Amino acid sequence: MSARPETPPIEGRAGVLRSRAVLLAALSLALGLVFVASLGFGPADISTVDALAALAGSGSEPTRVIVMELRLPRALLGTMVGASLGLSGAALQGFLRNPLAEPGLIGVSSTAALGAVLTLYTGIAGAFTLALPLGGVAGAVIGVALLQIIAGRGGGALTLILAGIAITSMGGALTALILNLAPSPFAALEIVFWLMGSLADRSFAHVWLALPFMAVGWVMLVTLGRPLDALTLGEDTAQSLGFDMRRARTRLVLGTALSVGAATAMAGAIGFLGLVVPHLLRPLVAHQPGALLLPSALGGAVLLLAADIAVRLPFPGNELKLGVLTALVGGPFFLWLIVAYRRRLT
Amino acid sequence: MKPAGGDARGLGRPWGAALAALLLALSLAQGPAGAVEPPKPRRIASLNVCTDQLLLLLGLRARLVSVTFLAADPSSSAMPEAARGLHLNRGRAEEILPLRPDLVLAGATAATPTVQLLRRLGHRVVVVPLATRLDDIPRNIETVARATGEQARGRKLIAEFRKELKRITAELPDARKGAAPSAMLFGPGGVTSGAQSLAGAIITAAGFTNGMASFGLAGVGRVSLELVLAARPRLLILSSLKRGNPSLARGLLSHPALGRAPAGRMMIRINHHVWACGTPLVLGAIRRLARIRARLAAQARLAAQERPIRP
Amino acid sequence: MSTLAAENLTVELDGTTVLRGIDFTVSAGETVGVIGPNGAGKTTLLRALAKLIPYRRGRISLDGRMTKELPDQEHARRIAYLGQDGTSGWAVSVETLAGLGRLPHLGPWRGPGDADRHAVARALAACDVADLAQRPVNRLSGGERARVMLARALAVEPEFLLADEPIAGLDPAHGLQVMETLTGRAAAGTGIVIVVHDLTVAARYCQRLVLLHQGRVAARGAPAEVLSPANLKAYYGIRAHAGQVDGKPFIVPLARTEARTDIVPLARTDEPPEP
Repeated sequence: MSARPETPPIEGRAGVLRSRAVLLAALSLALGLVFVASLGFGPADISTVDALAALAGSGSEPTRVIVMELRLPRALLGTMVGASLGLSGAALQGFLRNPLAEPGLIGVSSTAALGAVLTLYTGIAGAFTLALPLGGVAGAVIGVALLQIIAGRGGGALTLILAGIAITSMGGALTALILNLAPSPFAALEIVFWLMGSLADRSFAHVWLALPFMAVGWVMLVTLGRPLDALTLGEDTAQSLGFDMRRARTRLVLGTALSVGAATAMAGAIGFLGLVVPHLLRPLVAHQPGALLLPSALGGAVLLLAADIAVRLPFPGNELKLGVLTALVGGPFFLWLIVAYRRRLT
Repeated sequence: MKPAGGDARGLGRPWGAALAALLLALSLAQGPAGAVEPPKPRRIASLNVCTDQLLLLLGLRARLVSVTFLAADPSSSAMPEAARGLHLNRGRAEEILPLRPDLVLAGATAATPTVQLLRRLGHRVVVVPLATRLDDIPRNIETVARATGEQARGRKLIAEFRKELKRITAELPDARKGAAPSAMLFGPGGVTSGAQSLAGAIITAAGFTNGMASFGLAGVGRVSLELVLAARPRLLILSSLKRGNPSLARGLLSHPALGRAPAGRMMIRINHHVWACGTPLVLGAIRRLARIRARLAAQARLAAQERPIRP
Repeated sequence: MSTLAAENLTVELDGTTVLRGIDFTVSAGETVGVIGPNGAGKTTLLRALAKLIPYRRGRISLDGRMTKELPDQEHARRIAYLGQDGTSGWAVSVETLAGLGRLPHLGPWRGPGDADRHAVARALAACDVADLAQRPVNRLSGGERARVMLARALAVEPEFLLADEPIAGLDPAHGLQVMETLTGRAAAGTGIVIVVHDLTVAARYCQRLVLLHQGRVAARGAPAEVLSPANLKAYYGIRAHAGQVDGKPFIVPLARTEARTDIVPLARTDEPPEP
């Protein structure tokens, strides 16, 4: 109980800022590297160097077409989808004060896929192109709404996961139903895309279609930094610190729905990314939820692009689905998390 | 167990001889052993879209009780209007059993349980195998003609087919080895046809080399868009479906990468149903491709003439 | 001098009226204790004063201006709330947690400045947790955690601090320490409102007491008056021994008095069945 002299750790603040800047710079660098690397993978024999040359304007004509119309939009979309999943995962975990929350596990990706499938296979998206991402967003909103109803206030981690299982199952079953009822003979085979996700054969059309929705979603989520920090001690304390929790929740719901909804509409449901990325980065931001947002966006992009490279490695002409890879990595990770947090769950 | 002859002997010698004579007479009346000639079937059911079309081409619409629903679908059938008004089935036995068919035609890919069930119930089922070469077309026409008792019409159809095919291919430039330009088929979802496929046969008959064969593809397979673009076929054939029925596979055919047509590459769209069945209707596709072949040959000759003569 | 006042306050929760017609004031530099039996509405009063729950009738005003009309950030700067259930969702450092108290002072884009860091340091020092500054909060003992939570509230440097049972579960030494810190704050000009169950603590550290019973103010005034035997019997249903030490009263509950009329006796299920 001795009185200590007041020595405010002034270099502490600069230290914190510096370490944040270093983290962001490192993640940006990693993103740049994996982005460029991903341009060099694919069935055609075009290396990263060839691809960069093609971007600069030289190289044969087919190479230029392949790089500009196939590989470049694929890398861009991968960045956008990965950023959306990482960012929304960090935001959900911060808001729900639960390290097990992420858009895939709580069912948002599943309902988003359902919404997208509804607009695509019924022909609505053919008539009105924006319908596809809008369908995904609408589906995501419904998923979050369902989650609130089931797991709502006072629901602990276990309730959350169980609600997520229920919503994911319903979403998956309805998606399969629509695909089976669709007139096209290919529809039933495409369920694998919607449930497991893939960036194959995506074009710039998909990039431009998704970008406006995702951009708005990102802005909504990134500005949740302060409310999330305030929420560290619960809703009452956060409210007493001057933050409107209702508005924060609205921003969380809309931001997640817009970014994850658009991402799922373009690339199918990809799970576990929003779980793994924030968890890996949390120690690097001293566990502060607000500081985790932007790094999680960058980290999510890095991880998704890395996974997208990995799916093209084993069988060059016949790539794996992204969801397979994220589940192979994320599944055991999730199990480990459950074991580690066992006490908190029950 | 006593053999049957024993019973006849038991009945007495005269009865056994009479019985044997009766049996012999009956079997002789049926013609050569094993070849049963039934009366012409009047209630024909078809469980396969290719046999649907063969039957319609042989002019047997009046004797059909059921065709597949694909026969009326413009994506899958070259003659959808001809199937209008007919009972449409989805290839299941219980749909055609109430119609009491006296002949059922099925494709080799038809569900074998269905075929076995129908045969077990005593129906006559003739299986027409998938056509993978142009020669399979006359063979399949003959199979169907014989099964329906219309051999004459069948022979006529075959003769017309062969005559027209000869006429088309005669006009093609000399097929010097290596000079034939490459063509590739790109269907929904990247489905393509290799060497031993009907589509491949159509392409080679029209004077092209099948680009997919150089990838070692034998039958039907999937190829990625990147490989198709990198392979730079002289002619890219997009196999399209009718409007509507959206799917991701179909959307692939509208990928912007295909839109940027490089110099020297031609791209055409041919309706998917042309490749689906081995009927004389494939001649339309061969004719069209042969015309393109001729045009390419003419361009090559022109380019050769305009090339400055090297000293 | 600042005054936080509730007039004729009526609060309803889930259809039940929890507070009726409450009049309550606290001025800068005062320490007011809110006491009463379980379910009397003490926590609800505090939360209403902290603008955490809406109220049906009446008004809550800060210096005459209704708190409803105050911008959220200004309200947060001037009134700090320390709730009962304080658990941190994340393993942040003590210093970071206490630093959350500065959030009302930061704009949406402005990060913490030197002034903020000084305030946090002062708050940590006042709660004697300065040497724990870098420790993650999930590795603190109960007493340490309570003091860190208090430091968070003190870091706000508010005009009024509303604390709901700040010493619950603390051992006597830590409990005394927290109360001394709070009264120290009061001496420095902060208005303190605390909800306490320990009547001796209430008596010794609060200048005024407000006794709530069934949603109404049953008694108010100096501790000695409010904690009279008559009030203790009527509202708590206990008989206690009151005395003085160091010039301040102490209360020792002795026994429960006859059954309170507002408590329904439970059925006696331990009787043997009829033979």
